[in-house]
Amino acid sequence: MGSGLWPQFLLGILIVLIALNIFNSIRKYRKEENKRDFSISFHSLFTNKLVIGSIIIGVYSLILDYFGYLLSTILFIFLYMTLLSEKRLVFKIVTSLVATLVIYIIFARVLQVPLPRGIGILRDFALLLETL
Amino acid sequence: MLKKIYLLTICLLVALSTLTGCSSASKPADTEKAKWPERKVEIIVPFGAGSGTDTTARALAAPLEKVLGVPVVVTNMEGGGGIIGMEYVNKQPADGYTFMIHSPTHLLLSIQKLSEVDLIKDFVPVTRLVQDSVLITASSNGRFKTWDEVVAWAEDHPGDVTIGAQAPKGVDAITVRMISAGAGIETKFIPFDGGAEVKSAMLGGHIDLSNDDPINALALVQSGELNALLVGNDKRLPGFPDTPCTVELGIDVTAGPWRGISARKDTPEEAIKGMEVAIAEAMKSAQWQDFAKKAMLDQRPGYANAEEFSKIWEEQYQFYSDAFEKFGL
Amino acid sequence: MLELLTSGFAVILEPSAFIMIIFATIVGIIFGALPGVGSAMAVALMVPFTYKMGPVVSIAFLTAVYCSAITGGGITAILFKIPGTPGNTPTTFDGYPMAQQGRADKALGIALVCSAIGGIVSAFAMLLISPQLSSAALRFGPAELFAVAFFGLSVLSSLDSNNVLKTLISGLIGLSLATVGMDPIFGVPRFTWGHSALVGGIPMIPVMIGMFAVTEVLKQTVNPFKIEGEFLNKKVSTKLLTIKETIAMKITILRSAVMGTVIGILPGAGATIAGFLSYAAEVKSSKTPERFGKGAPEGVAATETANNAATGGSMVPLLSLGIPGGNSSAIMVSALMLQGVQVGPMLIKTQPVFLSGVFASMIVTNILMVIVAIGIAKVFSKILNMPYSVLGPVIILLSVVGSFALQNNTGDVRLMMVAAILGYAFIKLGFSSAALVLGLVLGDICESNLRRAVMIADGDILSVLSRPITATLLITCAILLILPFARQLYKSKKALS
Repeated sequence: MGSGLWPQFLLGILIVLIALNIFNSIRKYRKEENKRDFSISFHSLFTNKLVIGSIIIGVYSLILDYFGYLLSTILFIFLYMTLLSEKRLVFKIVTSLVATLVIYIIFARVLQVPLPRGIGILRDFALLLETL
Repeated sequence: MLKKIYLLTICLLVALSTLTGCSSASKPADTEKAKWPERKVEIIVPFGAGSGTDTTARALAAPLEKVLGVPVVVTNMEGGGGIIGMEYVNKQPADGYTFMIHSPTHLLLSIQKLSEVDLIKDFVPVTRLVQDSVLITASSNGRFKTWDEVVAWAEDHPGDVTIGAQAPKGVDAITVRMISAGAGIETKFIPFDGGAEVKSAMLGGHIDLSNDDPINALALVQSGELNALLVGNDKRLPGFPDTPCTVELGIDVTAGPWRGISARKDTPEEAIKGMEVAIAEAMKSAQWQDFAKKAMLDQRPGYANAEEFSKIWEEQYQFYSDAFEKFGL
Repeated sequence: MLELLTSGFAVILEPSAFIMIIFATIVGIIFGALPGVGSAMAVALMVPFTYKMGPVVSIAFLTAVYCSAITGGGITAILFKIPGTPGNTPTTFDGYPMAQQGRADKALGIALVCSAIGGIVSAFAMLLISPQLSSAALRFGPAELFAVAFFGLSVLSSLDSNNVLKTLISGLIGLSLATVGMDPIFGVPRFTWGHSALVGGIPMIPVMIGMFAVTEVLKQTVNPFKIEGEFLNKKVSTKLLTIKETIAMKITILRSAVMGTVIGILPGAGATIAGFLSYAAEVKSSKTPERFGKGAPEGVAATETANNAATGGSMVPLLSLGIPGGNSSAIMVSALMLQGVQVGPMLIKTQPVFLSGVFASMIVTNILMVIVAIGIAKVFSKILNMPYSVLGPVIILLSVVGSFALQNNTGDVRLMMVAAILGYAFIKLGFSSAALVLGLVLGDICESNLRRAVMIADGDILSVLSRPITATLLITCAILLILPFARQLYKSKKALS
């Protein structure tokens, strides 16, 4: 059996099933008395908070390599708490610092996981922290 | 709200730079070189915990730590058949504090051009630590008790004998193909996902032969479940005195998995030299000798200094490239 | 025989050894509960402690870490929907809904007691019939392993009984994703689009963590979840199962324990597949399959019994043949090697105390584990009392660090984030994340073993499929696959007319 056969087999079935699924949805859509507007159901998929939340976590995962674990995590927790409508500023700052540090101690110190250090001065700082 | 976030970010950055800025700025460049190592040295293992490379790195770390006087931290970065770890090391600054332990697998990656990072182009060899061997084994309930029986059967039935090894284009796979070709027989090569699976399949009679490291085969050979048929070397191994070696049968294949340390190309000469000397010293320790003996890594001379190791890279790159071409891989 | 039973206990119950076993249990559960820190990493981290122990205590100690790590993973799976180890993934399907309904204590109680039962059953199997079990397992070659994996795929048709079609599509997407990376037979990269990061394929753990844990946070970010009753303020008390309740689930527990043990022995399988297959078998054999995925206690029981039973199962090839079934046991082999002990058939014959020691350690650990885990679960459940504005970001943070810790690679973190967003879309569109993960877990085993078997049989696919074990398994799962489809078709016909 060649390397292409299995994926082709899977994709073949997948296409048939997706076609069936589209056919089903159309049939269902036609039957519905109050025809739903597709743009609305599409819109409900991307309500505002979802987009912002996705962007925050997406950016977080992208900056990890450059800003390092410590800085990007502090920023991430602060921002995500804001998204979850947390109003108390001091509470947010304290939480982001404490959570970042606790996880850092568990994973980097106890479990020896080399969390991303970032680049430039952030790397130096992370290395400094590791020697403590 | 947004203002506050900016403010916080700036405050943090300022705090960080004042914390670290002074320490890095006040270091004159030349004293830094003279003092290598001034902080912990990291060895990246591009394979999983429990693998042969991992065990070797950890066994080296303990005596090396004593020689260097700084901590030696071993970190696993598994994935992509060795690519992830290699790319990580290549991304670290070439300051002489990050090293990689690797095997011929990384030469194969470079031949197959699977990564932008190339062992030959982007790394320099430091020391080869050990040289392991390829051992061909058969289940004692199977069709073959000796290598001669395999050859005799295979000559009359080309492609009938099945031989399993880990990974389709790994070091083991290439070596068993080379051995078959060298013996002038045609065997059917079956790739498996891991060494344990190959062995189970052979013990269950689903394949005829498998290849193994001496240490992993030892217990089953001693208990009589496995027969060791052939070892890829120019001499018989002290641990398997009854098993013929390839060269005595006229098969010129002695390649086997080795493990060595390398560093990024632009690493300061002081660090490379310092590491080379320290490793040589560490390998003299009783601790390392004891490990090598227990892991059966003392069966063949493995140590090679940077210069010799560099030649090994070249020779083996050629050997494996030829093999890839020969088998149309 | 009696000596085989007692000699191990004599070693383990020695005060210094016993303290280490308690330590191993505590550490194992905590590490297991942390996402991304699987049993293999927990065992690897504990190896340095064995340098000063004797070989028997060493392996008993590492076995204790291994067993309890799998149990610990169930705690986070139930409380936060983060599978602590991949073997706990199916626990999230029913355990997390139970927690949301305010029955977290019940779910945890079931998980712990069933884990212990599973572990103990498999320990006895290992002690008493190891040689028979391992020779039976060796009969499973590539052709049979393909059938086992395929059998696991038959769950697809029952994961979500409301929309079989969408579940099948999700499963096929998972199977297709599993083909990304190095081709297992020819060693050529497939669907990597020239990216070296994809050569190793798509690792399942970041996908699981993303699609379950982070998707859940996104969901609650959009629609804050109001818990009925006073779950948030209630302390999780981990009510243990009463004897009556245990007896009521006796068939589930027994079947899962046997399945888990057997699957644990098979080469290349392990706790993850044991958990999934046992969950599948439970759904398939239930008279009320529609309850699953919505907080059915049997779902938690089946998974947690089986994944712990698989730990005992995986010790069988390790001790009887010296063949490690997974990373955790590979680390045990190398730890013993450092002490100059070669694990293999001779070891058990000449020094049966090794077998006995592992057995004793498993029994002691599985009992200790319940007590220790209750304490740890209480600490973890305190985290649940935090306001969601703290809990949500912390869950994402744990998911990020957990995905990273797997291979120490930020690429896995990005993959996890993509999986999280995809998981959200899946929920909104009615597709099944569980099915996708199942496809991803089983895809590679399925494909590589099938192609390997065909290769051994010189391309004769029929001779592969007609091998007795293979054929039996395949026919069974064909029936299982078609049944719910036929049922749905029948139902919809009825509804139409």
